[in-house]
Amino acid sequence: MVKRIALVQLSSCWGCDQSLVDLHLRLLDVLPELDIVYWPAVVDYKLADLEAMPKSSIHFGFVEGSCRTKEDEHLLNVVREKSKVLIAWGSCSVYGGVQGLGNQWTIEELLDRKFIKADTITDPRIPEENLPGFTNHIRPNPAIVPVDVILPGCPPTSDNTAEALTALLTGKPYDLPNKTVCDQCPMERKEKIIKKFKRTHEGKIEPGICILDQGYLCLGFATIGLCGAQCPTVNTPCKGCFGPPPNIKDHGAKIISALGAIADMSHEELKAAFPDPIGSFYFTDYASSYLSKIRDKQRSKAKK
Amino acid sequence: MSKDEKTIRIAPVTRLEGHGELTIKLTKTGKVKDVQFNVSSTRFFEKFLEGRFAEEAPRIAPRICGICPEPHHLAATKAVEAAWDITPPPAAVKLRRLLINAKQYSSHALHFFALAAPDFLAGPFGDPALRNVVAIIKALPDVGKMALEVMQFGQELAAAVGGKAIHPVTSTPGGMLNPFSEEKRDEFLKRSEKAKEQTLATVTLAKKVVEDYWDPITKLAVTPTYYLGMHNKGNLEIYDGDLRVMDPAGKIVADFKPKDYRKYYGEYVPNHSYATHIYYKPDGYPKGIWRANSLARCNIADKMATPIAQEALQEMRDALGRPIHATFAYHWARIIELVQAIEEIESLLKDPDIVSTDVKLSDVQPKKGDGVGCVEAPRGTLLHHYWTDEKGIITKVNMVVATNNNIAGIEKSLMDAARQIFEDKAHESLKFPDPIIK
Amino acid sequence: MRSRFALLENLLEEAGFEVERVHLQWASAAEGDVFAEGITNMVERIKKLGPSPVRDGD
Repeated sequence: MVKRIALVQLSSCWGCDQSLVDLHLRLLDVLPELDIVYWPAVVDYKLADLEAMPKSSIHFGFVEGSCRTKEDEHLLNVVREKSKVLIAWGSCSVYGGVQGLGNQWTIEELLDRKFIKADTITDPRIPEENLPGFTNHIRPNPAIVPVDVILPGCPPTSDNTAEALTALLTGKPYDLPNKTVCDQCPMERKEKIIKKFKRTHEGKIEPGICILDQGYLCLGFATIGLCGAQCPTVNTPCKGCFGPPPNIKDHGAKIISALGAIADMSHEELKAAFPDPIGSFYFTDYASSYLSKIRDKQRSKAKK
Repeated sequence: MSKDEKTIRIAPVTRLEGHGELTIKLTKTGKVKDVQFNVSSTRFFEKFLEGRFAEEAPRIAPRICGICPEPHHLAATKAVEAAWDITPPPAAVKLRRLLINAKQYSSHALHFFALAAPDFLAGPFGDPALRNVVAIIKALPDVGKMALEVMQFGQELAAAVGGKAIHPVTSTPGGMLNPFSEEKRDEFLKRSEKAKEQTLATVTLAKKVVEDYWDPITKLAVTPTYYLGMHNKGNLEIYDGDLRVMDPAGKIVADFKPKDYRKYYGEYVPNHSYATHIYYKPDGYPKGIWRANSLARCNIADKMATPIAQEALQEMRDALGRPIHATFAYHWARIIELVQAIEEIESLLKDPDIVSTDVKLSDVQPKKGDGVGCVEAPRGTLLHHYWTDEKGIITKVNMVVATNNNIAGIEKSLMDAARQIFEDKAHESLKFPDPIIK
Repeated sequence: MRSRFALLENLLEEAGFEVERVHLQWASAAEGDVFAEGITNMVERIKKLGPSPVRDGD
């Protein structure tokens, strides 16, 4: 039976959709199973068409991106209402994404940099006409509406999306594996004692040897193993973009905890090595961290 | 809005990456009063890049766009290298050229087949349910299969060089983290033969579309603007070169190094779009509104950098002149660039340096400074400007992303099209072919 | 242990929190429910024990 599917984009980069398109010829097997009722990037149905659909009339609603604008919030609520099964698709959707790093500042500070202070700006103003307005703080989608399936990744690989889609189409559950990137990584590992951390551009990352053992900040040990260790395979440290393994609530806190254990350095040296813990330890999931949530509460109170 | 005015809202604009709506205001006599292209989201990368290690910018910035992450990856790398006075090994530059051309190839194919072709194959009056690539694949399976294979070639080559196609990772200040293996080079060189044949078949298809739609192409939304693009000694260039600005009369009014962009780039903040309007600063706004992207690059360049593409460019210029203002000619220019991309890819794969292991400097020192990294993304000239402190931490960012260069020009061409359609009823008098997909 | 707290201090500072005021609370957040429960238990235990026998001493 052909299933009705909607693919909705909130504020995001479209990488998850591109990853789906990158099934290439395998799309020819998947497409006949699907009746695409809403996918603005590819198909010409309008928002009004989506809003007019009966409740729960869409089998699978895939939501990419996070709520940076009030329009995103509206769209998220609409697709939740119209979908039987809502899938938070990609790290933006599950954890807030890289734009969650913006939560370090107030929305006023973000607007100021972009629309008032930028070097090339000649006529500064905050645009307001026929535009939705911004949310004060990025909250992850699962904190805004109930989500049925989560599929993190930045983006999820074509295989990840195909697997999830197949499970959904055949009515089977889709659970995230309790694995880390290390479980998929081909590098040779030794006992972990780091005497000095190196930044990515420093020295030379030797192929074949665990990148963390070499002193580079590779977060594979604390990151869910879904991607096939794509980055370490090409001599590049994992940045944790798929988020934590299941049941870890705060990705960065877990990473800090582990680093404290393996770093054979004075705590002054360790502090000096990581002047940007938010950027280093919370690449796509700062919006899901305890501190971001506390900050969100404080700012909401202040605005009232 | 007065009682007899009418507002038409198209929400969202489809077959577009991102968030855009159109607001068209008509007077009570049916004249087009205003057309707004409302880009309705932005994520503030310029701010949240502050405080980050600059060498991580090539990992963060690609998240601006899932279709063109490679240009961001490379512009970010170049900006840091400029700030820290670093020159990467020549073989690393060749790998980066291979990466950006692989992406140019797959992105241009995606645009032509999935975003643009539905309009031409189903026709502008076709059923919305048929105006999409899924319908194309169903109705024309051979074309559909070829489209998928062409995109696959570009994406898989990008992944082979960049680690992954969506959000590549191997470019870093100082070079590349991973060399290109001989095995991969052999594989892709072999595959490039078929890709080239398929590219030429795509050119044939594109020329048929141009022929069938000649009337609308030459009459609808022929919008004079300035043009911005990159060149290398006059040849169309997408990785590293100087920038040119051409005025609507076809005169080159500026030719400059990207680091001097602030003399030439003006950024106007409209009240109705989160994406700003970029224009040629010396001539003011709105007169200096420029467009970037394929047609602009083909206008400012003296010629293409590769032979078959150059023949194709000459054909377009023989038909439409120079500069070409016809907005629909963007599709034709895009296919000409598709040809240059596959020719560049072939040439780089044949170069023995492409498998060199000398692709990264081992001693890279951060320093206090600022640098501009500029490349051509498929949608236009992409510029990243970073300031770093003595530890190499980013303190300030200014970015003019590719699409930004086109927002004002899009609005201008929409105004022209809206007038022609609402006031002159052009859709009734223009000659359209019978649609192929019904 | 000190290394972990050192990094946490960096994080708090960068996230815009006063390190001194929030320090104790944060130590509990890293261990989540376990630590919160531990503190509750400790307070209850101390209440039951009453004032410390060495309180009036030095």
